[in-house]
Amino acid sequence: MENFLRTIGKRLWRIAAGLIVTGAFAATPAAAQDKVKAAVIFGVSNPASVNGWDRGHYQGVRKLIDDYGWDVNIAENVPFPLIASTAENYAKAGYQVVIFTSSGQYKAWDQVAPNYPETTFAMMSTTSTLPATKNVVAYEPDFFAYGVINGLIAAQATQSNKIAGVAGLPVKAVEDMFSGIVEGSKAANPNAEFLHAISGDWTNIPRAREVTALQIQQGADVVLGNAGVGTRGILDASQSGKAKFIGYATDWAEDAPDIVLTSVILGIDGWYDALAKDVVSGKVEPTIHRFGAQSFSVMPLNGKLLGEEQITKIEDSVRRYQAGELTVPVVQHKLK
Amino acid sequence: MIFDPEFLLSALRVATPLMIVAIGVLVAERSGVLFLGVEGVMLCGALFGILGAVYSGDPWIGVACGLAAGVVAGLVTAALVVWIPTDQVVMGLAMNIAAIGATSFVFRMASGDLQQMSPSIDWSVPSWASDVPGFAFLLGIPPLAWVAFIIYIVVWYVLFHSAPGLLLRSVGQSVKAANSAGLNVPWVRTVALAIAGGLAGVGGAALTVGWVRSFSDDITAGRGFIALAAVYFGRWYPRWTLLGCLLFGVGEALALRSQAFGGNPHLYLMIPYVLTICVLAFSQSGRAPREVGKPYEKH
Repeated sequence: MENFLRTIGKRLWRIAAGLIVTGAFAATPAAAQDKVKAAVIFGVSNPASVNGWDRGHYQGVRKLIDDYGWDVNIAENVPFPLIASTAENYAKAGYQVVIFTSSGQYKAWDQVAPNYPETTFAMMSTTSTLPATKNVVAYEPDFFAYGVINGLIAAQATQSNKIAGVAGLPVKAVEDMFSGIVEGSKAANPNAEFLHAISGDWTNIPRAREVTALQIQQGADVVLGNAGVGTRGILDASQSGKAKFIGYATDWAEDAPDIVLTSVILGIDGWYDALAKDVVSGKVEPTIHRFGAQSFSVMPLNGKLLGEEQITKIEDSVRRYQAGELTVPVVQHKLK
Repeated sequence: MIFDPEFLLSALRVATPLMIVAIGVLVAERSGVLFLGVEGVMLCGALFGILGAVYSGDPWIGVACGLAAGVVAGLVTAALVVWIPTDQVVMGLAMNIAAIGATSFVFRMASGDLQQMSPSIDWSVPSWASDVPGFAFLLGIPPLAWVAFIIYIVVWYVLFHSAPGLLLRSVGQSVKAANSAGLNVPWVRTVALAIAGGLAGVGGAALTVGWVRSFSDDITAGRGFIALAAVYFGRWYPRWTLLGCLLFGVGEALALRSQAFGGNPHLYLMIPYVLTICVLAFSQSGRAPREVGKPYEKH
């Protein structure tokens, strides 16, 4: 009996010790529970390696983790038919914020957001409307203004007066950007002609390369590319055809220092910064936050490709446009 | 503007990986093995080709790495479909799916070093030669396209004008007859698959190292299957197979150039695939090697 009681006593002691330890561990994640749990949905695989739009978003995600201490889960390579169910699974799992990184994910945003009012669903891309619910918010760039800045640079850097633009698909963001390029280049150089082409998707590098090679063959000496993963093909064709390349969304100088004229930075991490501030302050409202010309920045122009005078002229025109001193009419062009 | 020397060069750039891979498929199928896993083997060659080129700084080492990866993948295929043997269709599909995952995984681990483009494999045209149209055109042909033509000549000669070629074809035509003649069928098929895998690997490297100088997940995007279709179109003969690949290259180059006419770009991007379907539908039905797809079981 004594042995039995001793054994029971030991076991109770162990259970008590176990409970204390468990309690301690349970108490530790209390801080972790304060962390905002967010999920980001990417259509591509390994977004950090895809320079341009996706790497820009990845930099934004890093900002949420490093600057705000958010607990962020990334879903990569999610095909369009599975975006809604992926977002839904995150909402069901208690994620407070679900982030969409492409306007092509709008349908899933619209479909899922109204069913999970406790979760904030953020669109980090072009959108003209919001889903009919209060738990949504959008942060989008003014792609027309972005195109104007690209057009101003390209039109003053071209010697052949032909600028090439290659995109993956003719989505609204591309139409806005290309319209901006047409108007921006016209404002800087009335003789500049904008040649544009579509490679057919966002992942096909060889096709994007060949489309660009054709544009260069037609005389383009400045190339702008917005074809997702395919932009690497555009860069390669520019390098082979000895054309100047203007980087899209993030800095491309390291990828091909000999031909990258500059990169026009979209500042996507700024959108994530704005989202984090809104979430933390509890000010998330169903609004489309637009980031205009002043939110974009231009990387230093390549002095090996342009003269000092040319660089000053380009920088001045961009500055004047961003300051509102240079007016460029907003004209929407339909891609052929 | 559409049909000019640059158009032909564009068609050749598109067709080069296909030509090399298709010749590999032809070798495998002539030995009686359905090489459905060619897409996956090509993908392995594409990845290891670019890894080799980036890490060594020499594109030709990249091509050699693509070849080595292809040979290994070909031998794995041989182990599975010749020596075990498993169903060739199921195993081919499994190889393709596994290759997509495996290459994406390896690429992710190595992607820190793959931000830069691989070094170029093209010849630089001397300034004096760029003014001579014929010379500039010849130098504009991708070096691996010349390699593809050399491989074609070698394979054509070996398959149809040499004793080893006759052995290989006889294994593909009738296993029983080959057995009766004392041939070691599994070994012949293993060698054929090693060659086929090596060529598929070089084809993959021709895509990444020789053409776009970078890699992305599933970059082959069905090109292995197009090479397979070219072999069927070519009725298992090298010259027609090569023609099928060139036709596809012309179709793709045409699709990209037709955008200049305006209209919906997707309409033009269908051209190479519609062309492939039409050519297959209207070409004479060929006779495949009789043993293709049948697992070898020695009785």
